[in-house]
Amino acid sequence: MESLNRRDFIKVAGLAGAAVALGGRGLAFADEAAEQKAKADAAIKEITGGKEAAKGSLTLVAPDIAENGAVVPVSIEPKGFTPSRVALIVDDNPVPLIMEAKISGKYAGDGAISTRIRMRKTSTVRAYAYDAKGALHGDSKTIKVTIGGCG
Amino acid sequence: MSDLGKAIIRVPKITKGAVATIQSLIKHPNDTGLIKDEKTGQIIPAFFIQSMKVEFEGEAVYEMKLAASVSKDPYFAYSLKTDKPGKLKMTWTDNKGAVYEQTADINPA
Repeated sequence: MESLNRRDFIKVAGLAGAAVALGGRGLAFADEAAEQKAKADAAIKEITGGKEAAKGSLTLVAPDIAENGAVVPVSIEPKGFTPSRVALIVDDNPVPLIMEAKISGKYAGDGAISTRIRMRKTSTVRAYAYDAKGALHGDSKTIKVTIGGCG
Repeated sequence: MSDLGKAIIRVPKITKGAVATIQSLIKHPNDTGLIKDEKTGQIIPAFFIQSMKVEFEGEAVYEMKLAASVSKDPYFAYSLKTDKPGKLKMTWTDNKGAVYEQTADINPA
């Protein structure tokens, strides 16, 4: 068998090297994505306890597109009940569970809360609320982030 | 940094027994611990508000647990309903253990 000449060898070796590098990178991305999903799932489970949230009774008010991920305005607005507990989760943030609030007493009104959050990148954002009877309400939405704000 | 620990609480005109929205802005860098200082290349250590509590007339209304991913100079708006005047108190704690508070008078008409 004729051996490869030097030029061909370099070509083949280069291609193989590139394939390995790309493959490795792809795997790293996949690992990171899986790890992130696990983090988000853990946060969701911590809040919901695996329960399915009722839809339509809680509204997550947020922009469709956030130009600046460092300041994304979000509001959690319950409809027709005052929550006893609310939570806000950003699936793709380094720490998905951003806020958890206990609401009590007779002064809370409708229990609506607004804040401004940082988002690393485009992500699903979830709001959850428990009513006084312990029923879970939820809403979620994807917010597109143009410039990430976590660093 | 001299503003650290200060907050602005904005109270709208409140009608007795109607839900009002109180707005607040806390002065705090809320560093996530993930950002590098552009000048030194060093990571800026995490320094953020971990918890925030709202009380009205000594009764807890909102008790929040917070992650560092709340924006710099954290902003919170929340509902409040009362037909009597009273004192609103906000207390917040950062991850270095500093506790701050600020009060506002609520006078429903």
